[in-house]
Amino acid sequence: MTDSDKKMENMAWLQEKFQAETERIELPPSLTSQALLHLLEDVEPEEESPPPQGPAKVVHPRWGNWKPWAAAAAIALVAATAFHQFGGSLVANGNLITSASSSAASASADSGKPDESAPGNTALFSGAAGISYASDYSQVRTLLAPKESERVEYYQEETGEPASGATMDGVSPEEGMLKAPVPTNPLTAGEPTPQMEEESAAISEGDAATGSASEKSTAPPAPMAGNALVTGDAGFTAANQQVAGVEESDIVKTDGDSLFIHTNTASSTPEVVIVDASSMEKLSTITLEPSYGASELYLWDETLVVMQTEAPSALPFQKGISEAVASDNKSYQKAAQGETPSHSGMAESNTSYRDAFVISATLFDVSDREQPKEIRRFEQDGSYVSSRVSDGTLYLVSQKYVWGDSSDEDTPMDELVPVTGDSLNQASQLLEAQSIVYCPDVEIDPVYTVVSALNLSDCQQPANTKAVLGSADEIYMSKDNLYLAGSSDGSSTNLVRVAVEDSDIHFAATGKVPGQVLGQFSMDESGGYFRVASTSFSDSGTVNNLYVLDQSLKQVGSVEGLAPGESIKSVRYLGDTAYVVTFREVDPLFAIDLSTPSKPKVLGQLKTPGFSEYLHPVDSSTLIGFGTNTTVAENGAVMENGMKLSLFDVSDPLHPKESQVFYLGNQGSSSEGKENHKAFFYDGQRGQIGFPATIATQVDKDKADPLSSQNEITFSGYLLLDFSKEDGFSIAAYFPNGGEGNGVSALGDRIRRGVRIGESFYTISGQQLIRYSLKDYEQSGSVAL
Amino acid sequence: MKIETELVRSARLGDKESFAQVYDQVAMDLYKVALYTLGNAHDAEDVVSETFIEAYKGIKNLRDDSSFKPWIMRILSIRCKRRIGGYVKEKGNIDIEECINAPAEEGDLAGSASERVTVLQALDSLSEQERLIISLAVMQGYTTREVSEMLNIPHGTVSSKLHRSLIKLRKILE
Repeated sequence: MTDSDKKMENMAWLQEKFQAETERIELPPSLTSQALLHLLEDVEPEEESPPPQGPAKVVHPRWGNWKPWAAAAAIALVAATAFHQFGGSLVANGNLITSASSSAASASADSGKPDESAPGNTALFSGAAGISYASDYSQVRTLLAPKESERVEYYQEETGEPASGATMDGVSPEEGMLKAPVPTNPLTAGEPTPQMEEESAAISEGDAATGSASEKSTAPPAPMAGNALVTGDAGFTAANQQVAGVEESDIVKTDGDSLFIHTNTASSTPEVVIVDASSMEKLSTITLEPSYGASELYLWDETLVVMQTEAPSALPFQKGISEAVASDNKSYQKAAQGETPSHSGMAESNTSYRDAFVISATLFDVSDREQPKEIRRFEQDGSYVSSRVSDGTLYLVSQKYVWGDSSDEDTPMDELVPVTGDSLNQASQLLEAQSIVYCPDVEIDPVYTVVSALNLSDCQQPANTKAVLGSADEIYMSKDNLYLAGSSDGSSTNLVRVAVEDSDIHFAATGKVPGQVLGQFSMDESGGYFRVASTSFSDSGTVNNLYVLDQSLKQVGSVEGLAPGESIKSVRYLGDTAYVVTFREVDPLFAIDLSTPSKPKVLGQLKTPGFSEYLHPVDSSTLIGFGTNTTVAENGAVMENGMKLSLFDVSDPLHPKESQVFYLGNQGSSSEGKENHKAFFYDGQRGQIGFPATIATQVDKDKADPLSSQNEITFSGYLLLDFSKEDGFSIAAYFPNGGEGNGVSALGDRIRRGVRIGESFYTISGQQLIRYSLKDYEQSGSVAL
Repeated sequence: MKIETELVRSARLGDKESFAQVYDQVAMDLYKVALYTLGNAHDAEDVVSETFIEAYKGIKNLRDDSSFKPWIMRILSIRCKRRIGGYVKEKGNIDIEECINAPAEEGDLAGSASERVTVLQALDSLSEQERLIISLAVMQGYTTREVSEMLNIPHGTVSSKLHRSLIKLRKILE
């Protein structure tokens, strides 16, 4: 039985179970429409509710005053032709092509038709890199044409025959791949992608991350072995980010003087509150539209970037798009001739819907902290995947699903092609066909991964957007490259290297490795080589692998078959060594030498109970592991039992040692810091770490089972710990939720981040900022957010 | 069940009665998803009634009358996510008593009653997000892609979570 057969069977089996079960459920009388109608007495359906006003607030402006028609489609998102001319050499020398991001209006601005005369662009990229650019929209339609196999009622899966071995296109990578990896298969797209570890998936409830403290974006971080380690002496803690100089978004940012806090509480209107760190006064508040997912900040010089996910109805540039669409689409032509194309006109077409989320980046000039000023807004179709800021350029990655039927010529192009909007032009823009990348000879699923680059210091510079047909769930970014990783069917991971330099982005190469990638920390780039750790599933269970690829994403070396039956829980690269934690019952930490790219080699391994979900480098020979402690129950089941901090001594890579260990609580304890590195505070200078934590303890040893979920929560809030190689870990301070007691009564407003500025430590929850002195850990001020 | 697009259309144009009728056609499904996700009847009732109001306010923006159900499911999902965010415990447990409407003494077959408990206990081993995905994909029959859009979670994540949850549930239930 193949994997997907098993999935289908599981599905059917459970559906039956659930059906029997759910038939018993009755609708409470309070939920009939008759019972609820009274709730609507004061409610009138509205297009949109006016944003809440407040005296001291900077209200996010709406777009009503803009003239969306004025400059419809006037912005050229990409200098496509320049790129094509150089494309051929791109792969060969591995260098970036820095085509001038010309502002030449795209062909579609004038005629609405893409420039079909772009020479030979299909052929240019079909070499080793396996990439081609679409030539026009009709080609895009063809590429998107649904396959019969996709018309499955639920949980569609490729159910192809086992690999013949002859095909190199990797449309449906099969089990055979595990034995005979084909490193340079073109990108396939968006089939379901079982990842190896559900807990891990970096994108969770908040959808995008969340983060920890932040750093003065211009301050050079102290790099260490390629990792963004630490802090500086800037007087405040740096953000915990993976790569030095590549910023990650978070809900709190600081420049050492002010705190920028995104209050993303569930119930109220989200806001960004700017607080003076020394006077603890609210300087201003920016009121935001509700976000449907990712909602985070960047601070770059005096520019604050607010990232939001919005419903499509919020897309203010909606109207701008119609004209651009019109020329390509008959229904729109009619609309354009007969009546004013409009929102409702779209709804009338009614064949399908462009019903995706839109992610937005809004830039505020915060040089006057008391009067933040919106200076630009950029929008991009799709669900948020991730983003980075490097050298003052924001890189946004989203996934857009295509619901429209591309074979129906009445389906408007804006349902088939990603749309972006930019306040610079006050208009929306269909992505040009020539900016859409696909992989020839590969079956394509209707999913785009959309990448935009936006210069944060020059608001007049047009953004640059490109998209690849295929899905990416995880990204890794170095200074030169953005890597997209997405899984097609669970047996392999497709990789795309996007070369970046400022606002230029170029899809440079695609490749593929067997197995699933856990998250951003599974990936790394060093010395021109890309390294990626994966877990692959086969009939005999799981095995773990590490691959080294060159710039064209061709595999040059690998270690395969590690820890059969286990799966990767965390990875960290320190220079030329990879540390990989896998888990089944005990936690082996592998040290893998990558100094010879073609011959990665396992140096040593260490087995301890529990597993580290996050590894943080302290220095070149020491790692902190933060994860879950486990106990093997009498019946042999492995049970979680609280949390665990470890200090790994890897000075002798042949014999890694767990030199210190510290346990926190019993079953029921949890911390966001395990799953989200942005919630993990690391201060190497002071020898401290911190994270939000809820500690459940086995209170009555006679009564309660230590593994019971009935353990009592004895603390909830933020923990600050001292650590040293010699003395291990000890708790320096408990900062409870709400600032009082054990924090349990304020569980509804949990602390999410901690930031150090000078001699003060700040804890941040959705509703409160509290400052503590680091001398005595006493409260020295608070602000209601 | 097919929702009448004509009814949705008049609801979209502001007819309260039509909206009530359309809502009634999906209320049960909304409630089930909420109940299984949140694990207790009280919260489930809250989010369904919130969804009712929000849907009424927003129905003007509905673009495609035939997509009413996925649309309102998404509103519900967002409401559930917000509710989960406010939970006291990291992982809200399923209140088994509340999920079984019929009291035990009402003459259920002992076997089926205990089976129901088992299904719920199995669900209890999942996180709320996993339960939400299971509810939408398994009980409501949405594709992983649709679920991914509703929850605004990348498709791969939905897929992998669903896959893992299915295996987990099956292991417990067998």
